Amino acid sequence: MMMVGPDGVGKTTLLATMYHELSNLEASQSGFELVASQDTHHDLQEAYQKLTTIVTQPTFTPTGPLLKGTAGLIERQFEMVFKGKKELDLVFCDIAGGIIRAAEGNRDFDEFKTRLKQAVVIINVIDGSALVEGNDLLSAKKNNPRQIEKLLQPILTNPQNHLLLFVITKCEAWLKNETTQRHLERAFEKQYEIMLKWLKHVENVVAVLIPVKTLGCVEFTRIDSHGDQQEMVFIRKPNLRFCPENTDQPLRYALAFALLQHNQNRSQWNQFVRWLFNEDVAFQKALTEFAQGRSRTFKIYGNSSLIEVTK
Amino acid sequence: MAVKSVALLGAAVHTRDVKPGQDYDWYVKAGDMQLFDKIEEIYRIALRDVEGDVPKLAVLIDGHRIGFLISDLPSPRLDHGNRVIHDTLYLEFETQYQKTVLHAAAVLLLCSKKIYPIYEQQFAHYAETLFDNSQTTQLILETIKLPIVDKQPNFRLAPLKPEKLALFSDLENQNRSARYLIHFERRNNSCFSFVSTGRVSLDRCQQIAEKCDECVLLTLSSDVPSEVNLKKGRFSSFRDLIQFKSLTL
Repeated sequence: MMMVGPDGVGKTTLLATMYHELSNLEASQSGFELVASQDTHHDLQEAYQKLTTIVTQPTFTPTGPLLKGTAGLIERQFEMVFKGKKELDLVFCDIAGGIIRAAEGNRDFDEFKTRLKQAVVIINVIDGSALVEGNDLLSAKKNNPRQIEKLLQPILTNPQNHLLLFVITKCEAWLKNETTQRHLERAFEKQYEIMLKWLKHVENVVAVLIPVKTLGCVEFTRIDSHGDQQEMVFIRKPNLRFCPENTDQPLRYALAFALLQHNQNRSQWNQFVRWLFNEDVAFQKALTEFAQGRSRTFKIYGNSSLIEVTK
Repeated sequence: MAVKSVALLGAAVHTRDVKPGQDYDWYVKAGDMQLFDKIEEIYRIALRDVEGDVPKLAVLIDGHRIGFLISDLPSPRLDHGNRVIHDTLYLEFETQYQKTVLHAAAVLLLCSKKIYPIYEQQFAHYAETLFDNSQTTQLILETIKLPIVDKQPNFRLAPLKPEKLALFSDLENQNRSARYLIHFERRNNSCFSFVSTGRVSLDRCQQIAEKCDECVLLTLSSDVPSEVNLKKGRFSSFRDLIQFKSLTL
């Protein structure tokens, strides 16, 4: 699983909040459990704790720093466990956003491309404030859809099935009602028009648009200009508490897709043994239950049958 | 705070600039650096993007050079996302300064969590000075002031043996490592590395061990309970298990 997006869009913040939400789930609900390696667990919990300190920052003033920027390519190790038994290994790759702009021959860029080729799920993190409030130039600078498109097209045309998640962060201000939410969606579809058109013609890719509240208490207020530089300014709202919303959803979609692909790609012998011991039915039932935790309110692009889980 | 001036041969700074896209990279590479490629590899494997509240530094001795790297130095600059920019500073010296450099690493291991930010600030100042002059490949600093040991390590703790070791980075092992560095004697011109880092897996420690003749690695990884001999190789545990099984059968 690969996170992509330029620097500063909130990839690491999203990963920390996603993991926190899903690690709280009890295994008994569906039988599936996401288990991080001890070091990954510590790293992500530590990052989450740092994010919660947002509530100690003064209100109505631009928010201060919470997490460090990523400098390279970080692998986060997880296991998906079913009824106490390891079902599959999962690696989440978080990157320094600058890598996507690096040139061929750059070691980090080459490593990133290798990992991207292996990825089944790709999470493109998008800065919602730049999408809605920025002009074309600022939005392109912050989210760089053309570069992402250039990187993803050759990867997504290989025969493997892929799930592409467009996760919009920093969009608390537009998730208040249906009108503003539609405004956010339209801004996304305008900026990513070429990629969405292209998705209509490929059979092996499904994309889901998921706007999330990673902090819940911080909102975009204005754009400040410093010379030729423009900066998005966010402030902490006094009446809101730290409360991520929908951050479990990208991970739910990603895990359900990975499990579905894993189940479909089992060897014939393995399928036979599982049929013999009735394991296949139990697994499919649990997967259906797990997949039901996905919200159906998100917009889907491409081949939607790829994310359908049936009993 | 007692310091000693040491003549510098080369220096490098890994940092980022403020604007979007100007992400982390080596913005400064100045002077004569023979060990840079090796130390960069150590940095990529064991120090970059590593979490954990411990000193993050590396020392490499090879040939006639000694390299000293200190990472995670908070700079006074913020990036476009309002995040504190962290610097990594690499300094290279002649081996005649081996003792001073190893003592500086020991000081950083022995100092309290309250004092450590003062040293961090001093190194960050050097890094920022170099970054401000990043347009030139000439080395703008001739000497660097390194801290001198003013606190003795605990001699009651078991000393480290010269081999390839990964240790859990608790106070005791930090103390043992500091003592080892203070009394370090290089054997047969061998390549030696010391790394103090956060949560870096045993597999990554093994990768560092394979690059030198002797090494000591302090890590916060849960893979390392207290002390692991890295000389045995990556698959030794598996081999040990097979041998044990065949003996018991």
